[in-house]
Amino acid sequence: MKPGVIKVKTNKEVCQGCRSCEAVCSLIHTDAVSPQTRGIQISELGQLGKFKITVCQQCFDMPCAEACPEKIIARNAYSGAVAIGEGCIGCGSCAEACPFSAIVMTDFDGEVKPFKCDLCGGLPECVSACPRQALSW
Amino acid sequence: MKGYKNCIIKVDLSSGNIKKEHLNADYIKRYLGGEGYGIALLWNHMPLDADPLSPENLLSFNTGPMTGTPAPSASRTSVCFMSPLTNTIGASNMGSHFGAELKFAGYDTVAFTGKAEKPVYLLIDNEKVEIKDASSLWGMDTRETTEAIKEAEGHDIKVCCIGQSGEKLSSLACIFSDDCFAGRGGAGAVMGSKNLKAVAVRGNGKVEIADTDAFKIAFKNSIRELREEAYTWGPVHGYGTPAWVGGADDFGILPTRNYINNKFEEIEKVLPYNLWNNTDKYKMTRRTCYACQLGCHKYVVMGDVEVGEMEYESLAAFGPRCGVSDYESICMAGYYTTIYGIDSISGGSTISAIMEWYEKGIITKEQTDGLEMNFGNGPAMVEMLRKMCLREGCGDLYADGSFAAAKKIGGKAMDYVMAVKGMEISATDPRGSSSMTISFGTSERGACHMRPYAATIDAFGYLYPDLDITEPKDPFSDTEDKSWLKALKECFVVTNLAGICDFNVINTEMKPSTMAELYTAITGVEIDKYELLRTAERTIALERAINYIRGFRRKDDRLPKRFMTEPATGGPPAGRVTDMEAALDKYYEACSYDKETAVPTLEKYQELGMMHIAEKVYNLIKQDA
Repeated sequence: MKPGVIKVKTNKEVCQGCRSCEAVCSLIHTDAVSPQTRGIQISELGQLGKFKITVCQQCFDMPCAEACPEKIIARNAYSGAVAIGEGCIGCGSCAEACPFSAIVMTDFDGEVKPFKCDLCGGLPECVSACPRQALSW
Repeated sequence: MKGYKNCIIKVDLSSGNIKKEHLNADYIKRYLGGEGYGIALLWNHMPLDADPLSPENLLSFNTGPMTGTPAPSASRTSVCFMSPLTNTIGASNMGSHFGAELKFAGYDTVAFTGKAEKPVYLLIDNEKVEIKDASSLWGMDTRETTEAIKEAEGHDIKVCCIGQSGEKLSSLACIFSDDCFAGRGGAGAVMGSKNLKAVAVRGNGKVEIADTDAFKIAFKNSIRELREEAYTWGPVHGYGTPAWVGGADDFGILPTRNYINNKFEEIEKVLPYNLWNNTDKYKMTRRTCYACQLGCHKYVVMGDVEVGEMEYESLAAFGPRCGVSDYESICMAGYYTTIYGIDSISGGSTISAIMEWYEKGIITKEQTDGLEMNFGNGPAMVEMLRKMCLREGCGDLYADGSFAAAKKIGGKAMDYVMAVKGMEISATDPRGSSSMTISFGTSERGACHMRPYAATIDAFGYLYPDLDITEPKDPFSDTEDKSWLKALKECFVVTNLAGICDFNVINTEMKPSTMAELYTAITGVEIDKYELLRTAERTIALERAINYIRGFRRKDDRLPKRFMTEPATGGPPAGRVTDMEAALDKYYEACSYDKETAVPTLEKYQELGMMHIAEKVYNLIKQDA
């Protein structure tokens, strides 16, 4: 696994856990806000006020793509994001293979499918929504 | 309609009956949601003479159409009930992640009536809603309760609960949710009276939005407006609301020693950088409510003590108001209010009243269990607060606030109670801001600084062009036109209806027209700022109607005598007293209220389409005449 360079960069020290990034991500991609369907995850660790930010590292070697039996995960030529293409069977292999747990398996109208950060096609919306510059680009 | 989940849970705690119903479309149209919905429930589903601590009282947790969306600080839940502190309507709202989770679970509102036989909590786990035994939680403080429920139901669950004060029916008791509070008016006591220890919710569903593209534009406008306001995005974002303390002192509106003074000579010691920079003693972290851009929530840890949130009102109440300048005592007091679950504003104010009674000889050591309750005695303040929270010893006398205590003490005690309708005034001295005279006086839930926080305009000199406030206002004139205050109040109330935080408008950041854009994008219903403000006007008119029926009149909109008779002692307002009657006349005129009865005129009710409400009120007015 070799993390990529062009990705949503995080600074967990300044995160204050508002989850605006999660909400915006979910909305932009699904026209609804769902706490399950988001490409960036904020979780409060054991200590109060300490947050963990989980987001796709857009790995250079793409372990998720390697694990995909349908071979539909590929780098988007325009944005450089590792993107899930058409024809997903929802097997969950990519989510299991991700070393960062950045792929969530979520319910899309009754079908369980993987969901991950696609850099919003080039300009990640979570970055501008973050009030603390915990996310950068 | 998108944005709303169109589902309310109605729980009758006496019978254990749980019903799910669609929202009432008429309430939504008239009152938007949130606080408006909760007040409409009170009007329609509760006997209006209900005793606040009786099973008849209807306690509802109401999210708004924006709650759960990414709109700035769309985290709010309005808790509505009849207030045991004031006997008026109770409307108190809280942040945290509870409201958003309730929306994700698929509900806008949860309403409780009746009284459970033994302690219970309500578990809402998506579709599953059940009443669970809370006998083992009774007697626990707020943090322990939250932990115990998380242990039992899973750590991703969001909890709001009461501490010991709520169990002991203190009229100052609040509802706690992850270090946010529905603080004012005694909502915690109402929960306690129903044997309802907590509400826990888990939601994995979604909140749908009508027009994502339009929302993106409105959202970007809204965060830009917030981030362009220097004070909000600077000191408040950094230090949290304690940043206001210095400004309040400069402008002479910082209540000191139970409002004897309006400026604090030891202000240096309580400025927030003393807390932030003293890293040997205090650790500060930021934890915000859901979707909050601002993040006023600062979490303080003092040695082994997890104090919790330190904010302006708590700091001002336990600091200058009690003449206390050491942060250690202030933090300890903040800790007790957090874990036992009482309103820090009323808690601090009650103690400052005790201090004045003590210094004036109205009470003696007999009524303080030997504590020397002089102004400035921090450790005594902390100990008295602990006794109040637990109703221990003399604390029982003060546990229901300064107004109730003064009635029991008798004599001149009432002269030193700084409360309106029984609710203690929060930390702004109205002698330094004429508009705050009206805010505190006419607030439907008792002296409240957020209906609206108008000192921003008249004392601090902000303008709000989108609300047609384009000229500076005179903070020392009670006879100036107050129609701007009507619009500002509606703007603040709209935030309660929509489910966003009023800190979006406190420094005139977010335009009402941006709020309307957000609402339209979320729900798909075209609305402009005027109609949005009108939903707030209707809510206020309904609240006034309920209060009238419960016996509240113009005389109850007055501030304590002190502000009319004792001049301000320092700062810009030095020497000034308030002309309450002139200010009320001006405000009633602006709102089209009858000057005698203090309710909207019949013409106003008609204009608002509320004749069915007016009928009841005006029948009563006729009888009274």
